[in-house]
Amino acid sequence: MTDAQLVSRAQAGDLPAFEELVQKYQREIYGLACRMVSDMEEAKDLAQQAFLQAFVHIRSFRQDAQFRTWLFRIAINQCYNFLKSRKKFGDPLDCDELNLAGDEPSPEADLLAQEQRRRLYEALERLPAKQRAVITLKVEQGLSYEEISQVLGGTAGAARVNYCQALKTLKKHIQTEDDHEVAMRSSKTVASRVPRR
Amino acid sequence: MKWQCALLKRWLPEYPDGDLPAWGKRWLGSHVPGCAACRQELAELRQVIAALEAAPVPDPAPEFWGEFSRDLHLKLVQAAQEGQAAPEATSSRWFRLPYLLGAPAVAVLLLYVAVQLTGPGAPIQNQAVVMHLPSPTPAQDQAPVKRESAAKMAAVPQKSAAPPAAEVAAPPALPMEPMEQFVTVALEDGAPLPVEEADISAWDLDAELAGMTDQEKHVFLNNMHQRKKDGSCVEGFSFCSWG
Ligand SMILES: [Zn+2]
Repeated sequence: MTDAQLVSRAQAGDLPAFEELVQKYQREIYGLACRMVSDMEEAKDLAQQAFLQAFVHIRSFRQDAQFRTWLFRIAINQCYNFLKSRKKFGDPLDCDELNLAGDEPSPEADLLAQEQRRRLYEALERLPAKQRAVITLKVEQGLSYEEISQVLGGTAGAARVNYCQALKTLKKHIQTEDDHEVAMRSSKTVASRVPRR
Repeated sequence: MKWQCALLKRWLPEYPDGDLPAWGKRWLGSHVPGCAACRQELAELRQVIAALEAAPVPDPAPEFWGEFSRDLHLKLVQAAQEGQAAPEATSSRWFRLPYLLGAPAVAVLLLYVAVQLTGPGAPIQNQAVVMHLPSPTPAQDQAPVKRESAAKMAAVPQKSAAPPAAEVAAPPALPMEPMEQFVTVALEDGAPLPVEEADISAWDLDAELAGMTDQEKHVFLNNMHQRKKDGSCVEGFSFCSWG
């Protein structure tokens, strides 16, 4: 069944239809939240909140828009709210959890890749929230600039500029002076070994 | 040509066949192969993108998703029981309008927009987010409740508890960094805009110019204004031949 059909059913109160949409997009929404808040537990809660909000407001969704984009917008707003409250209450960032997740004890050859990943996650966390959102939506979710502008507001051109700025800032953060060479070489190695999601 | 690089570098991540307007592809295609600085920049950006693609968020175990689904299901059922998910509308938009207008949520929304518009350094780009937020839909407008739908939800009749206005109309959180002020490049009045020109007309000029030296900026802006003045840039400056 297409998104449009599922949404129509959900708008008519069909919970299983909505849950089918959840199944379809839960990984993307969770992944987005993980990137945004760097905390897997919080990301899970935020993803659930996003789906709950989408369900509650499903009837205000117009079928001329993409459900996926709409969902991203709700999720991003949840994340922004969370980040704002975390900032307000001064909770420290905890990136270790995300950094180490999925890292099994590995041979020495992978240490470089792990180090590269840790560095990347830290660099991502240092980005302004909006740039982190743009980069995640673009690279990981494959959205066009037009779609990103629908999620984040602004124009497609602004999304493009933001994306480029984010890449450059990331590059700067990743390339610390002492291991510039290592970081860049390992990213190439990892890139060739790990398939895209 | 440095100022040209400063402009084009914003599009480099999409070179050669990415999310670019046709004229952008042409421009990049004619510039990048012959420019060592842009090629270097491109290589570095591609390495960052490769690093990102190589380090996706780890996919949790199946048990995680099992728990996720169970938890969420309970929340959804509860929301349905509390009547938060409104029944399907059978009345027209016009019928519902008075109820929408009556909702305090709308007042909050309008107030927020007003503050954004009049406040210092009003973030223009955020308005779009506000406007497109899920609009407050009364949980029980005059549409008759569809018994069938309600039964599908949870076999519990819907109560008529309105969703709290604050929750529904909560404005999107402001992004953490200072908002950019957009400068719209004025095009000739009445000139028909090809679709591919739309993007450039909304250029964030401040950001575009940020990477340039004063001299480069000067050359670029002079160039642009001159071409606008002499009419050689009727449909937007993107088609002008730079140099
Ligand atoms: Zn160049």
